[in-house]
Amino acid sequence: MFRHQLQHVILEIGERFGVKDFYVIGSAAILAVMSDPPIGALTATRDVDVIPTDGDERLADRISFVIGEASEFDAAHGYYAQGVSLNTPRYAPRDWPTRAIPIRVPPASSYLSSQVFHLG
Amino acid sequence: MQPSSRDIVIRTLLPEPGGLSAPDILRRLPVRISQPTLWRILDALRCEGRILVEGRARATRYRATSATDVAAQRSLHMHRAVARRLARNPGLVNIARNRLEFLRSSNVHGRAYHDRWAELIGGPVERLLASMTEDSELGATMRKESPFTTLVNEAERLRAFTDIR
Repeated sequence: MFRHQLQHVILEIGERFGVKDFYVIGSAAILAVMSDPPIGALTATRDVDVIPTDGDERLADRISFVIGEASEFDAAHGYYAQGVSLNTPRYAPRDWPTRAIPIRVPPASSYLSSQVFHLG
Repeated sequence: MQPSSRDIVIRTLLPEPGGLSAPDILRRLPVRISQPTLWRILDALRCEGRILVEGRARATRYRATSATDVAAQRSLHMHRAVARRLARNPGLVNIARNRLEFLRSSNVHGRAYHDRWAELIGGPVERLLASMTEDSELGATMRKESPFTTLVNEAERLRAFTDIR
C-alpha cells in the first residue's frame, strides 16, 4: 500500500460516513511515519484497519461492509478498509490513542484527520 | 484467586476450535450458572472481541477468538462460497487470473503473495481450493491478498456479515 492509497481510504470514510476523526491501526499505519517505506511484509497489506474514535462497533461494521473486503470499492481500487474495535489493539500500551500521529486529508470543504497509530 | 465465570467460559471455549453452542457450554462448565447469566457473559465477551458468534438461532455457536478473527472468518466464509462454485466451474479461475494482474499493479508490495497465488492458480484445482479455504494464520494472510474476492457475489457477502459477528 502507498501513502496516497491510505489517504484515499481516509477521504472515503470521511465523506461516506460523515466522520472527521478516526484511528488507523495495523500495518497500514506505518505510512503515517514513512510515506515511502521499503518493500516488505509491513507494507504488503492492502487493507486499512480503522477504529471509530468513540469505538462505535456498528460504524466499524458499516465501514467493513461498504468499503471493505470484496466490496465494490475493493474491486475498483484493489485496497479496502476494515472496521475494527477498540479491543483490537489488545496488546498496545494503554495510552496508545494519545500517541497517535495525525494525518490530515483535505477534501473540498473541510479537513478530515485520522489519528494513525503504528503498532510495533 | 477464584477464576470468574467469564474466565471459566473462555477456558471452556479455548480448546474448541469449532466453537460450542450455548447448551454445550452450559453442559461443560465446571460450575453451574443459569442460562440468562451465560447469555450476559457471552454478550459481554463478544463486545470485548474475546469470542466470535457464528450462525443464527439454534445453530449459533460461540468461539474463543483473537482480535482480528471476525474479519478473517468472514473472509474465509466468502472464500468457501467461491471455492464451492469454483469446484463446479473451474473456468472461473480466469477471472481470478485477471484480478491478480490488477492486484500486482495496485499493490506492488504484495508481490510474494501474488507469486504464490499465481502458482496456485496454475496448479491443480484441488490444491487451489484447499489453499483458499485453509483455516490457518497463513491461509488468512494469503486471503488478504486474494484475487478471488471479485468472485464473491452480493448474497455470499451479506451472509458472511450476518452469520459472523
